[in-house]
Amino acid sequence: MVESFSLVVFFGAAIRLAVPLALAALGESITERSGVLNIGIEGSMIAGALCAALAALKWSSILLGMVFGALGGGLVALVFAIFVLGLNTDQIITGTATTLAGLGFTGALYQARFGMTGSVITLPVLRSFEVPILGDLPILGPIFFQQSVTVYLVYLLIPTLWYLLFNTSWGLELRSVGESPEVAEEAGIRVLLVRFIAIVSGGLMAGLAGAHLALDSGTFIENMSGGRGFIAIAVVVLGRWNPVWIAIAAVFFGAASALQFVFQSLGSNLPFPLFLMLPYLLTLIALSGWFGRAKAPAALTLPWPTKGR
Amino acid sequence: MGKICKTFEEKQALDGVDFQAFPGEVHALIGENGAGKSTLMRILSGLILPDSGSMVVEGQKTRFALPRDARQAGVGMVHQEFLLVPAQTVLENLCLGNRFARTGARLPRDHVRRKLKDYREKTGLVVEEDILVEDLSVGERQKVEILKVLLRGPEILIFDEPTSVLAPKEISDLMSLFRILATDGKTVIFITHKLNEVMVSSDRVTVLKQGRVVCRTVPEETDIETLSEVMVGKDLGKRFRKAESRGGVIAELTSVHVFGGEKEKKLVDVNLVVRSGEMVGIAGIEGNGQQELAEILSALRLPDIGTAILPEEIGFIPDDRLEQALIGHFSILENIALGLINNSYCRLGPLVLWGKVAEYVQDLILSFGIKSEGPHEKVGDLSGGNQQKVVLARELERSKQLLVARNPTQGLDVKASKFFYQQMSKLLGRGLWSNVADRRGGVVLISSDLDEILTFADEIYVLYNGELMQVPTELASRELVGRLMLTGKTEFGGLAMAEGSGNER
Amino acid sequence: MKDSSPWLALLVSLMAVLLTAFLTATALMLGGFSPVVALQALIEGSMGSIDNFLGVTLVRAVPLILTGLAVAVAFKSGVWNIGAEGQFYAGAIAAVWVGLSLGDYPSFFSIPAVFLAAALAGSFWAFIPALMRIRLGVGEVVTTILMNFVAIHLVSYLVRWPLQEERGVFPNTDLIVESVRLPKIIVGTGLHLGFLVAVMLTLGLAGFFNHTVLGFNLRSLGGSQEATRVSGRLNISSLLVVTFLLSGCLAGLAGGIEITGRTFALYEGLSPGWGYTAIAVALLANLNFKAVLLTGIFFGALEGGSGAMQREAGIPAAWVSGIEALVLLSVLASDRLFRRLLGSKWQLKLRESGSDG
Repeated sequence: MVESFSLVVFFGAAIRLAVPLALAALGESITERSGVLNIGIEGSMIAGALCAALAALKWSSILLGMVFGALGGGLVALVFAIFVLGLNTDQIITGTATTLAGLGFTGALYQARFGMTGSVITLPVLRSFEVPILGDLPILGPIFFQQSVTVYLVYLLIPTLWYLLFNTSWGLELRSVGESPEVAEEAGIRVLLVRFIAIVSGGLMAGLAGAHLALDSGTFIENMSGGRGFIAIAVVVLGRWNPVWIAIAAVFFGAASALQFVFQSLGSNLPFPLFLMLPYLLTLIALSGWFGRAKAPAALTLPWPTKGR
Repeated sequence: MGKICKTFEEKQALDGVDFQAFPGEVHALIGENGAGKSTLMRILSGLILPDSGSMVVEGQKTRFALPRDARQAGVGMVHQEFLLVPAQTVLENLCLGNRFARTGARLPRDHVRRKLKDYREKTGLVVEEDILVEDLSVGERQKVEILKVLLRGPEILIFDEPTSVLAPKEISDLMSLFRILATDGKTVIFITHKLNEVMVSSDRVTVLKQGRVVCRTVPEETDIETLSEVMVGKDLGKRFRKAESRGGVIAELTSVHVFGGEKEKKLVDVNLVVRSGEMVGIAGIEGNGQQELAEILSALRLPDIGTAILPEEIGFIPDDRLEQALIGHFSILENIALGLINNSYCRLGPLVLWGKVAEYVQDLILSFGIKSEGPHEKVGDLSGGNQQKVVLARELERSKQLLVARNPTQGLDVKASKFFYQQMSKLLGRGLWSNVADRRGGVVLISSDLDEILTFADEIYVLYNGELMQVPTELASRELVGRLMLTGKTEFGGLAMAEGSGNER
Repeated sequence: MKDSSPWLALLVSLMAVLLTAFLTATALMLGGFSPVVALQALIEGSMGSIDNFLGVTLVRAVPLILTGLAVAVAFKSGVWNIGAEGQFYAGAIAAVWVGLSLGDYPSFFSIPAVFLAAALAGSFWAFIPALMRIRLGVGEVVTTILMNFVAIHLVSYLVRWPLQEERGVFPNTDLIVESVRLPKIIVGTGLHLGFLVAVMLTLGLAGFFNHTVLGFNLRSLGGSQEATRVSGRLNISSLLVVTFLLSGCLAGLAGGIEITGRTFALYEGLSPGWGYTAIAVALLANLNFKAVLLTGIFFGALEGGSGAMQREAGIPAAWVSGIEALVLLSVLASDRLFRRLLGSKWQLKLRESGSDG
């Protein structure tokens, strides 16, 4: 028997844990919609976390922390974009490289700045605040509307991205570039420019996700992204490249991690790693087409231009 | 357009072509495969640049560096391979095509819907707007493609072989659309092989042959026979080198059907017999089922209906050699090994005897005259002709019983072609090699080169719209086979009957 | 980046190392460190003494070589296996499980048994993405990444519940029995038999790809699937399965050897991301097996020397992962630049197969 109180705590935690995944996955979905699979967003995320930590420490400002976090993520994505679009290198290998670079250099910078032993740094922490009126709702209020500002940012991003993607010319052009770049080009769209914007936007959002990690926990730890960049890629697949479904998928992954804390706080001996594994298995099943075929953008991972022109 | 020249890799595609089309007319541009029709139109629509020559569009001297330049000048092209995004709706595709008309960031859905209504009233073009393009039939897709081009408001519309994928009803609809557009003051240019369409619906005709304009006329002053003669040239006399004797059946296809997606028929009730010592020539314009027939004959795929009895050792020279037959960063040795490695001579159990393979390949390089630095040179570094020789060497070597070749001498110089035919004769056990009767195989030559077929084939077939028709050798002439390739079986049936009945009287 | 002329390949790799060295030196100087001191410490720590070289560098190199081979096999045959990490863990799990449950049998029986289990487990882990690609047309990039996380969480479950040590304190397994631990090649150093296995496998694979019909067919598969189908008359699906299985088998063995040769127990974070570093190892080697042996040792030296670099020169050990990434980026950049300079007629086609997420 679980009381409704702890259920509220559980769902609240699920939302909170879903935020970095949702931010990174929404960003990655933009990138993937343009036909580019950036598996380097893990690198963007950790860079975002470090930059946010450094900026927040220097200026004691959450806002500046988030801005610099986003820029840090964008910078890593910029490197990825230069290689993939400028040199036409393979997306998968380049993404692996930027992930390794992000993890390596943030670790190095951190150690250089704060010493090898990793003295704990303390940052201003993202505080949750209650949305007037909505926050007073029973059950829903505490779950959805007593959260930190990044949560509300995600709430805003979901409809915004959805509208952009499906109801504006810009969104249509983005999707066309990811589906059939040759058609897009014939329609007068500059394929590489669209992809560049999509990659960098994805990086900015992954950086923001990293900033959330640092500012939510109030510290920076090496490798604190902990594979969330890769999880975000799974979230995008499970969410079928659609902002609304991506948000739901992110909450699902968030809930799986929240279970761990619930079990620990309840002193339960239920095997939480198996719950953590569940979303991945589900994503695999989703990919197998058991819930109807989740269809990736047709030009995903394919280089452009295909031949020298 | 005046004096347009275009050269691709030493091959002159267009040689001083002059071409005019006027507002309010339907202009047919016809010619054989490789005559330069598409190249000319690609220049007009800004996809490629001419090497020399000039263009005047609506009184303005122009030069299109990019497709968008052409579009701004009012030239719209309906491509043969439709440029549509399959995973998006019709409306979205039309919005994308309408990019230049857009005002704000919002998707101009309503604007496009209104325009579509206009067009529906004006031209009778009806498409369902909110359906995914991938769920549409080919004919419907073409309508979307046409609407997409129309929405851009062009004055000149180019249709690249628009009827090759359409059903008869759709074709007649398209022809009346041409008329409506022309009446509206637009210039309609359509590229085609099919002469009956030209006669029915065009105002003027330009015929291209080997990169030159060979005829400008109007349908009233000509007929199908004359046009087809102009297109394919005069009969140079029959040059059959008949097989002296033919052996048993090597390969046999019995009522073979192959379906593409969407109930599309690629091959319809194909029957074919190949005997040893015999060369079967299959003429036809590319895209009439050649790919499917070749894959069936070379045992790469099974027929959907019907049976194919084939020998074990088949050589296959595919059409797209660089994609299907060669691996660019592999050496000549490795590329030849790709086909011959299962030869017991080259292997010892699971091991490859590279030394033996190298000797073998060295011999082939010598006997086929492949110009290279040796068996270890990368195929990607060879010239096009030598790359093809590598394929010919390998496939002739493996085809002890049957060789299936698609346009095998395309891109080869005269000497190399001659050599290839010699090798084929060897396989067939003819001429100098006629005494090695036990090694006689059969050859199926699938080619769009009429001369090649007429010169070498013992049996002649024409593949048109997935149907294979045999042409009695005594009737086979350049004009007849050429017209069959271009117009399909009705004409031939009619002609054969007419001649037949003529004899009776 | 595949079989191009060996000279070009060597040039690209050399160029990449030089570029990395240059970038690293610049970065170190910007960070206020002396590159010379750093290099000295690195060399000292990784090969300054026989002990360091054998016990640190070569031991570190073993999993890198084996996972590097796994990646090289896959990439060479046109399979995008990003799942060496998961396959490594699958192999490690199987090795520990068999190693714990085996009684005191003689080593010549039990070690091969453990190896077999590890290889099978790794292959199984790769078989699932293989099936999804062949039967459902789902690209292996995302599926192999997903399988990595499944494996990581599986390990975390196993070491806390069914396979946790008897004492039940720490999240790790008990040590495997003595008879399944790999003997040392040189007594007194950490260098275990696994290194010899890695060397033999490298030579074996090079021979397999160069001198057998199946190996040749796999190479053609990587060269062009269409040409392999049309001109080689080969069944693409079964060749793809072979590639996945072989690649997974090698990564699984890496896990098994790490358990039986070095740690003797399974715990979370057994691999510091070797499955991903392996991509750098394989690409720096230009996907050439024998060269993987060298690049594996090179990366082993980097990782092995990083401790000394931190102690002697005060440079954070984390630099090394950054350097590894720089190597990868430099390989990509030099490869492209060289090709552009030399104007190769054939576009490099690393991605033969569309992978659709």
